[in-house]
Amino acid sequence: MSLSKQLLILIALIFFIIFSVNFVLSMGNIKSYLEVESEFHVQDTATSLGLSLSPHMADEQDPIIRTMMNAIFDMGYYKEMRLVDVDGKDLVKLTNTDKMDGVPSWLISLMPMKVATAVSEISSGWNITGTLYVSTNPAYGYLKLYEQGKTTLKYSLLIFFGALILLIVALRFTLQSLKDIEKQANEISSGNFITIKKLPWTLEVKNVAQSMNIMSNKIGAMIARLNNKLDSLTDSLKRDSLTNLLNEASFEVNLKRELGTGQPGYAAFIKFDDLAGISKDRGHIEVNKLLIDFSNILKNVQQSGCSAYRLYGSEFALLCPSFDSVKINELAELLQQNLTGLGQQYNLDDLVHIGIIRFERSSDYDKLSPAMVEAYEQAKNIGHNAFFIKEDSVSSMSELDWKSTITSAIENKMPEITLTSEAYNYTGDTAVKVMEEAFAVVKDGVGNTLSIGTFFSMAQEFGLEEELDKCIVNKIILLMEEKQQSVPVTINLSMNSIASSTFLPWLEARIAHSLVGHELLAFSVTAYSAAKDLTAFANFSVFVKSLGASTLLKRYSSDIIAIDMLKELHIDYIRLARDVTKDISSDSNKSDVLDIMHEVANLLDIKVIAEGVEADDDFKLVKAAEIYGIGR
Amino acid sequence: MFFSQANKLFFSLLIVLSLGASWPLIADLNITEVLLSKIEAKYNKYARQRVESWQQLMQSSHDLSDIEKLDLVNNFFNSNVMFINDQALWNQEDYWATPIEALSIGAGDCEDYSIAKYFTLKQLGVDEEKLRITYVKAVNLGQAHMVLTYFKDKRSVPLVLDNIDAEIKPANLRTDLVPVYSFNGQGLWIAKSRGSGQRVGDASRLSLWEDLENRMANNL
Repeated sequence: MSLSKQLLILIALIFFIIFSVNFVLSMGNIKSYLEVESEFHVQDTATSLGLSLSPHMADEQDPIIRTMMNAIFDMGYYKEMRLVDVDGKDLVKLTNTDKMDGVPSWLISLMPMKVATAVSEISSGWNITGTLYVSTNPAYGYLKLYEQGKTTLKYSLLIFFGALILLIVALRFTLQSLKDIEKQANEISSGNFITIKKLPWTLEVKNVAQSMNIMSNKIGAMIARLNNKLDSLTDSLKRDSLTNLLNEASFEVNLKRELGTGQPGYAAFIKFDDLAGISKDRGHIEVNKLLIDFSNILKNVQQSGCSAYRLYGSEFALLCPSFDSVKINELAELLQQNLTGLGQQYNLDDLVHIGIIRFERSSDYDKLSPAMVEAYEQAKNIGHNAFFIKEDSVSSMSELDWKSTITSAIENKMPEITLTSEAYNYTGDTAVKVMEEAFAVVKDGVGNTLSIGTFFSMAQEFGLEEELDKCIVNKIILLMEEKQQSVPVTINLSMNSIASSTFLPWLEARIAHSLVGHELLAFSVTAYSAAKDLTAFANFSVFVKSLGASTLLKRYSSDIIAIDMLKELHIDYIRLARDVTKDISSDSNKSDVLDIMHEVANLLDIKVIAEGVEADDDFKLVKAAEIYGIGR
Repeated sequence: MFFSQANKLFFSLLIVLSLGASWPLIADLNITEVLLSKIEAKYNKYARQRVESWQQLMQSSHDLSDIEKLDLVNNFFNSNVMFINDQALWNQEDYWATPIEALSIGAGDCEDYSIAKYFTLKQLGVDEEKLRITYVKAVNLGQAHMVLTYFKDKRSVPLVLDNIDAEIKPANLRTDLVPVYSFNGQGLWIAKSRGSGQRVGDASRLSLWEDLENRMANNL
């Protein structure tokens, strides 16, 4: 029972008791007053009538005696008047009924009123000649008591209900601040560190609200601090410590990402042909200086829209999305010119060679890297610091082939589903499986497995991703039903489907007809995709929650979506990007990142899963962090 | 020796009548040595002697006949209390004194005589049904007056205890007095109290005698 109801009942009960006691006392007082008044009245009557009768008492049979008594008695206020002679013999006796219409009998039995009787001795000359007895008619008293009782009850009830209304208003006003605090507490627990602006006036509640505000601010500030620290740590993880250029892992992620966007572009592989030789001749310090100067040239190139990377030792890369052949040629020439200038500074004619390839949506990721090396090798044949641009397609299929393959896959429900990437919770005595991922495999007409990344990317190109998602979700649910799945399954969706007004109703209907527990469905997109339309993803999360299912962000790292933004996405799980945990055992920064992410996620009530933790040393460290799930 | 106002007599009558409602009086009064000392300190040694004599009278005369008691009491108050009206004595229009006040100061008006006699006779065991306070007109003086009357039985001619004529006589021989009315007046103390602005109610049915008692204790 709510506090307000308890208070209302308690105070209403107290009011009721007060009003009841007051009413009963008031009735008692009225009764007592009426009784005393009737005593006065009847005594006055007896005295004055006795005085009036006195001169006529010499003749006890004088009819004027009865006449005078009738005159008074017929006023109706008296129940009985009796005149007796000095020997006690009745001379006149007048009686009335004490019944009074309009007075309920229960009142008479509940509050019986005393019949007031007065006695007045009558004398004539020096002698006593008789005694007059006068009794009141209580019916008038009852009537007055009844009317007074009704009036008192009416006003008592009016005041009682008026007081109740006032009480409800006052309680609402007073307890509203408690509701505000409750709301604040709920918001804090769900990660929104709000404060109460309008402090309540009740001192104790005000103190609580102030404490809550302080707590909310502190937690909010702590998360902000952790987030900042995470940002700087994450950034340092992505960069080469000498040149401060992005590293190889970043290059791979970004290249995949660019392929996913479907926009064509160029990637360049730049390699010092003999850095070891230079190092041998000039020394370590000189080489480092050369590398820094070289990286500065690459950084300048970034202004044109490219990103620069140090892949490994003497190997560097540029990623230039949305570049055309003219623009890449201009860039390559400028680069060659600058590098030649750099070589002259160090008296080195031939520093590097540049292999450039063109990529597009249909490009196979796996073929890009060898193609870049091939282009580099060709550049070496051209001249000092030369570049070679390979414009050939690195696709295994033409776009037309892709379209027909995808359409056919959807129509024939070809994607085959397997449940992989099992993640276990290791915080208990035994490992408990907490997540699996549904993985789709698609084969071409001759039975070759297609690159799934490219497959989805091409489906998006042809606007078929929603149909493809429906097809795959359907098959996943069927598989889960068939396997009587009891562990949650990550189901990957495209952002287009998530934001689609037709997909969501379809999903709701499909889930409604599913035999699988809704809580086992964890719908997922990559953090990079979600970052493009956070509002759509947040809405999808809320929608999915309303169905009883959950959402998961894949390949999460805090540089893609700030960790304090997660609370607004209403997500249940984050699955960390592999490079967050890769080589974590040898990189204290990564360990810090994991700890901070875990801390913040705990505060926000989000479960953290690490995927693909291969090395045993890494696994030990990740396990020690006690995150929710670890996949190997 | 007379009242100037009739209502003064009426109220005195009420007081006397109310005395009948409280018994035993002397026990309640508790005339102690402390009280007597107070009387002596406030008035004089004669005052103390009068009150002591009164106390002695009440303690020693219980076995006498009604007539002997009437004589004794009538003579005691007529000889120990001198008539002085309220205005002269108390500087008030109407003041009813307690028997102790009247005896202490040694003076009173006709209501004080009647009250004191009624009270003392009742204390001596005279049936209160035989005692009445009677309003009379003193013909020779043309004034309202009050006397105590004793009825041997209800149909007999009452005896009159008066301070104008010190001898107790049957009423028919008192041609100087015209009876106006006599009250048994049970409960009339309520009217008196109401008339004097005192609180009257269920819980405060304090007899005038109790009040008188309090006054005797407090005023001394």
